Amino acid sequence: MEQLLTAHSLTIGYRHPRQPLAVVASGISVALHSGEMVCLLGPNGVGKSTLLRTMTAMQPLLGGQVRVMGDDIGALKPKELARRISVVLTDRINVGNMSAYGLVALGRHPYTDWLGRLSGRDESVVRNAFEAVGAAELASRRVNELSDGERQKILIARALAQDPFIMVLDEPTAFLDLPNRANVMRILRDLAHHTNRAIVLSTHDLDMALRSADRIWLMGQDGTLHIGAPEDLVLSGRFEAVFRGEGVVFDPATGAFSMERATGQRVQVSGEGIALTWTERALKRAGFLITSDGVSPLVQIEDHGDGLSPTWYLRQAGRESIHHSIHDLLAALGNT
Amino acid sequence: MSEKTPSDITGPSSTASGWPELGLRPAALIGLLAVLALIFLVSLAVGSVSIPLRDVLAILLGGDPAKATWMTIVLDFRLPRAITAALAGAALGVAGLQMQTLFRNPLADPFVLGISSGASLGVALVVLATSGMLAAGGTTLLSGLGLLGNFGVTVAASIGAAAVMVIVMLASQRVPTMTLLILGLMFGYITGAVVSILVYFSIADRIQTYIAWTFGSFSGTTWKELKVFIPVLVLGIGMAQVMVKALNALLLGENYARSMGLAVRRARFWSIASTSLLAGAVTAFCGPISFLGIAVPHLCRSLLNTSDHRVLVPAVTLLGGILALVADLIARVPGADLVLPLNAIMALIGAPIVIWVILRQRNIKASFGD
Repeated sequence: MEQLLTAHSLTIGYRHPRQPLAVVASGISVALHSGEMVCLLGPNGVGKSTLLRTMTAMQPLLGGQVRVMGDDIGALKPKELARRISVVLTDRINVGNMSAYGLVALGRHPYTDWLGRLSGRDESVVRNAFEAVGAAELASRRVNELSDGERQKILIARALAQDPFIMVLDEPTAFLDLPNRANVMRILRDLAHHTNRAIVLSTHDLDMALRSADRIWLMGQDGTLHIGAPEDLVLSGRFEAVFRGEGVVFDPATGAFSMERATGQRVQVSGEGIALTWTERALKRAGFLITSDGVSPLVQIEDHGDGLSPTWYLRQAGRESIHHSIHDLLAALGNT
Repeated sequence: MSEKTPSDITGPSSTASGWPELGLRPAALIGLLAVLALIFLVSLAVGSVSIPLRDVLAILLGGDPAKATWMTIVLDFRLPRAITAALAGAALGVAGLQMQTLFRNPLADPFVLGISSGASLGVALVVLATSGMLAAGGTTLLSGLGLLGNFGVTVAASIGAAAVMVIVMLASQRVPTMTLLILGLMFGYITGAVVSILVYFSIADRIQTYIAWTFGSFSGTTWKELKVFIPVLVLGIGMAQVMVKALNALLLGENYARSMGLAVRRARFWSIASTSLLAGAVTAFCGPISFLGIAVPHLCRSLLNTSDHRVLVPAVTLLGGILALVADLIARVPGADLVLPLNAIMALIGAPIVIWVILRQRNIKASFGD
């Protein structure tokens, strides 16, 4: 695997006139390889977008160095840089009555003549881009008539039509529903693996990132960047550490976040199947710790099957009560 | 570098059928050109004296018309006027298109940068402020200019427009694009205020002169002035034509444009330079012609159903010329010895047309999102 982009002791942030430098993060050293999809994760406001913008020369770096295929990023001519890196941004797109095809064709900007005329090769790159993201049928639709998911595919196709070695995407799955998020991630991973490009994307969708990224750049509150395979970062506890916050805990066992509401109350549960799973979820949600200590209140679930709702028997403080919904059960438990 | 780009890995191109074409729409552009030529001839034929089209053509081709006086009427009066109208309309259309794209704003027009405010301030200073000085018995350079009439007004407007142009060009290198929009707006308020004060202290006669200038007119140019007007406008329109690719990239916003290899700051500078030249020259020679600059780009997007500047720049050039000539024809009220204010005619006839086209095609949303 070829190193396409390297950052060395990079300091990112903002330079305002007559003010001290506003450093967002420093000491970032990282390498991006061909054929890998990297997800940049981190809590809101740690500087993920700033890092991506600095890596793509949309924003000046405050210190250190970024090299794109060996060349210093600041020394590359805009057109040459555009042939190496393309982007998908969160900027709103207002292209009027332009067709999706016209938008994707704009990706050929660094290659076309002064009038922007498409050569035969340009046309075929544009068409390949449509097919690579599975959006060929959208080509003649107007951009402003596309759904969010369709528009995102078209923007990825545009970035692809720019024929870069590196694609950088800022939150490409924001505002998308779950199937579209999964689809976009699959498209990007396939692009990285099959076309040998390097893809970096920032996202808040940790679950999706853990399942699809080849590597994760995990940006902590202090601006440090932890790098590794998703599973390594989970096992080393980095994930928990970075995302530990008010009332939310990352559960390494499930790879998901849960809302921390421990009340210290304990409860025992017995039962089976789906009813048991969801009863336990409800009890955890209400802040109970599930044990089998033999002394805490005991919930027994009787599942009648066949679409009938189960019955919950609650024994606590020597009394037994019968409940026909989880809602009632929680209410009864809360009254102790 | 580019010979080993990764797309080579993605394999051969797909079938060529079923993909949209990004055509340059030659048929539509030739159609507009034909309409422009026709309207141009009609505007030479129509007026207080009607001249048959055959004779107009004969005069233009160097032949002899049926009456010798027609020669003078066409060549010395109507031809400069028609050229002025066609070029001014084209210029305002092109300038408006560039501003709407640069600011990504459907309400932008050639004057958002404050060019016409600068021109109007120049004219107001010459026409209005000098009246106070005359009353006080003073003779200055300004009052001299004021007495020169038409020519003085043109010079004053040119100086005012050029001053604002220099300021805007310098600012465009330093502040974000949206800030320019607000600066232009604020400058407009300031000049409006100064003009109000000047009007307040001015004599009725001079106020009349100033108001007449704000009506706009294509009749103030002779061949002598066209020697300046034509090259400046051709240059400004040519600059926009050369920048069609950059303008297309700017449709996606400055960040995307930069990521596609466009030198955004340079493109913005030249686009503003072109707009300033066009808006400045038109305001100087014809007064603050409103409406065309904002309406023509919208009409072209709607009629041609495109946002591609390779089509739009030539289209607004032609349609701008057409609409300016039509408005001028109507303002001259053929058959009557009467000239109506040009700006009033444009808005009265043009605005309903634009409303109709845009409501029919829901074009504002189409062009600028929601």
